[in-house]
Amino acid sequence: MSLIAYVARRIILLIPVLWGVVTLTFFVSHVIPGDAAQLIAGPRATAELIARIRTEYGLDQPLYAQYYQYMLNLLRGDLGTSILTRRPVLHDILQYFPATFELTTAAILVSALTGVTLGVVAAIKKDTWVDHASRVISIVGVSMPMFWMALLMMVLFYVKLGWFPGAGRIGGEPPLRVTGLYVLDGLLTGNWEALGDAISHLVLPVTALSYAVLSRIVRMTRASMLEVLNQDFVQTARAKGLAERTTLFKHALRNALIPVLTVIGLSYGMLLGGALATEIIFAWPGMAHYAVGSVTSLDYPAVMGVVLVIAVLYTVVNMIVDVTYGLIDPRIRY
Amino acid sequence: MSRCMSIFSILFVAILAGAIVATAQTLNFGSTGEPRTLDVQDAVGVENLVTHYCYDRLVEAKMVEGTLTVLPGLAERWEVSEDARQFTFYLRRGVQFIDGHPLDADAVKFSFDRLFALGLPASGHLDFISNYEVVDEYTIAFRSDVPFVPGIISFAATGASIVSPGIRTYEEESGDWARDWMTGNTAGTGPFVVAEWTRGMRTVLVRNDDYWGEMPVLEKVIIRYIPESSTLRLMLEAGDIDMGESFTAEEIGAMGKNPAIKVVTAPSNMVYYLYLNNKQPYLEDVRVRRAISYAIDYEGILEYVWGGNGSIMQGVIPAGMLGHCDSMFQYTRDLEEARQLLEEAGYPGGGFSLRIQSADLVPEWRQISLVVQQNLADIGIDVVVEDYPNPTHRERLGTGNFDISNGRWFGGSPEPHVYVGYWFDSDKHGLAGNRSFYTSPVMDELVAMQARETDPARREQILETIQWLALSDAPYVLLFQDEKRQVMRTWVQGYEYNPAYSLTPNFPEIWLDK
Repeated sequence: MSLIAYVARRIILLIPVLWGVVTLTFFVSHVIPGDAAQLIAGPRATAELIARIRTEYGLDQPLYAQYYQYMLNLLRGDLGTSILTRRPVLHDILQYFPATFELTTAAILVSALTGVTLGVVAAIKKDTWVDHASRVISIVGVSMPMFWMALLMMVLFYVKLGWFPGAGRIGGEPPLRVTGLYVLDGLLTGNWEALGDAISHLVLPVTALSYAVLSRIVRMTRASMLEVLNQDFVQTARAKGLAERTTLFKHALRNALIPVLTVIGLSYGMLLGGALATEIIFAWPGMAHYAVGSVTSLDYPAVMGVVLVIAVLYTVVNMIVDVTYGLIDPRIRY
Repeated sequence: MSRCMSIFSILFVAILAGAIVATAQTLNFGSTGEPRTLDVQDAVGVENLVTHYCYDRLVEAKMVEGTLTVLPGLAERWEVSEDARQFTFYLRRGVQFIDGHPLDADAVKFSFDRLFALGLPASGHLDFISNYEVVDEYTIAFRSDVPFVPGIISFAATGASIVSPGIRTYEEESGDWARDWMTGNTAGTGPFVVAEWTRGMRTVLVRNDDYWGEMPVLEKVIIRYIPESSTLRLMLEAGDIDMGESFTAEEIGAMGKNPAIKVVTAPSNMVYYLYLNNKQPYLEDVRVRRAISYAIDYEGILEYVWGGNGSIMQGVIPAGMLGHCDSMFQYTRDLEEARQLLEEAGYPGGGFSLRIQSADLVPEWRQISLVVQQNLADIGIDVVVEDYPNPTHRERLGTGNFDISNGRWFGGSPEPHVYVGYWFDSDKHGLAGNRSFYTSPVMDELVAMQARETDPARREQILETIQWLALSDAPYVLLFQDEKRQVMRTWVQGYEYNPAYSLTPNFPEIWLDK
């Protein structure tokens, strides 16, 4: 099967996956005890007001009727209107998603580059101080709760040293919106002040977020490299007189990357779905924060919209990872 | 020559002082909650923080020499009929909304038309109004079917803010009252205007330089949304935030020791109490309710759960309001009395089980539940502690699906009716206010009497009677009145707590001495 056919098949398979996710989420969120109309109406609402709000938002309809209407709207590309913000859910998601995308993409890039490098070095320098140090770094990363690390970093780098800002995406005016990604928009519009401001605000949350992911990548890369370095073809490469760098990076690393890519892909999907602790601690106005607010307010359209977007992202990331396997290892066929 | 020098010196000092005040009058306020709407007639809670000073009301409420006083707002004067059924307001002339629309009686009528048409909780304080009419271009009269003495102060509530009729331009369809537009915009006469709202990040209020009243010193108020109080605390300590709210008691205690930070305290209108579901088989017996009231460790809860930041309630009406009585009876922990009452009720040694519920809305509620569990175990009542997400908690309160529940009540305006008129009215069972599902025809009549009594002394007597009856029937367990603790950098000047607008610092009077 060609690559294009493979990708097309994966996209088509996305439809039943999304249908299942949306249906499951719809019914689960609606059976959770709680009344969205009561929450909207406020602390001293009368029964009449609650009933009116219920009617306004279609919450008085039978569940199957609400589901049918929702699916019909979805087919038209309408994710519904947020009960809380009174704005189209798509509008809200387009507002919050770029912040999450910018944060998590930066975090995954940092963790992938750093993690792979450190893992390779740890494998090459097995049982030396470098290897031990990488082990300590990894254990700290997986053991320490992310919110705790985030707070510690804020205390040290923001309060004590004053090197980086404490919270938020930007201190001054954001750059003119092109993509919603402040770093990219700063570059595209030539707004260097905003660019610098956005980057400085990214440092602490990216570091906190990437550390936990980096830990897993380091260990996986190290283990995978060690296994590959013991393979016959590596010895053959060395026997042929190839430079050590070529042996390691062109031959060994390439073979070791498959499981590492899987970890990176899964981590990225997970981060895109919700870096909640980081977003809360650093007041990062992203999707996770919006999602939690929607869930606690029983904002059903927003909950459904967020789940749908996360499901799409997760599936697309996995698809990209699968395609990348074939690019790295020519033996893999679709 | 010396006179010239004196004049020069005075001028120099004045210019210097002006320069100092004029520089950097931008207040950064940190809030853990973010409004969901800027529509002042759909606002509860944190929304008022942003919208209150974008609008004015017919009258304003303010503490003057320790007494809550109603002051002129958009109405330069008003009249209340002797029977407290008609409220007539005479409007200021020459005032404009920020969209250029003039303030007149028609504009006020439009604003109230919209408020009542929407019928959202923001109009709750004004549900005594039966009709209203424009008398002339600058006069409007409101009428109530029954005498309602607390009425005048209701016109000072944030929900009674006057909205420009110019918003009709933004109606997407006839009769929708520009709801969608108002979600993201303001249209008032107030001293500030919303210049920017970046959701999840901040709202920027800028001074309305065409304001009709006293001009604020602050040029800008940036309200930053920082959901985590630990982060907010660090930013306050670093000086990036000038004022903040919603800190825990421990955080406030720690920050109070920082010489760069000051904590201004005042009695709040927020009270914490327990609802005893009067429809529950055991709790429908008043002796059981009194027994529970005698078993609670009030001092312990205030001291160890709430950090001592408040005072034990003395009666239903909080301190600082008409009707509060320092000598009012209050239950204290008396296990002998509690056991005696249970025996009289037919439950010697207890021997039954109750549930107590709390929500994640207030983290300390769970600790209170655990204390209550221990306290009632001492008289033989087994208590099961249940925690729910706030939506579930509220649904259970609304349907009466609970035995005992943690709760709190914030008056909104410092008017005793906002407490007694909601807590004991048998027409307001459930979330509307009477959360213990308490029913007493005598109490209903007393509540109605105090609302129509125009003689303050006589009204105070009725309020005292209400409180005695409430304590005797014990539908609630009164825990403590919270203390308002506003945290700010020492360079913030002019802050004064106003119980009428508890959630909103007095931005127009605040300035920075940096």
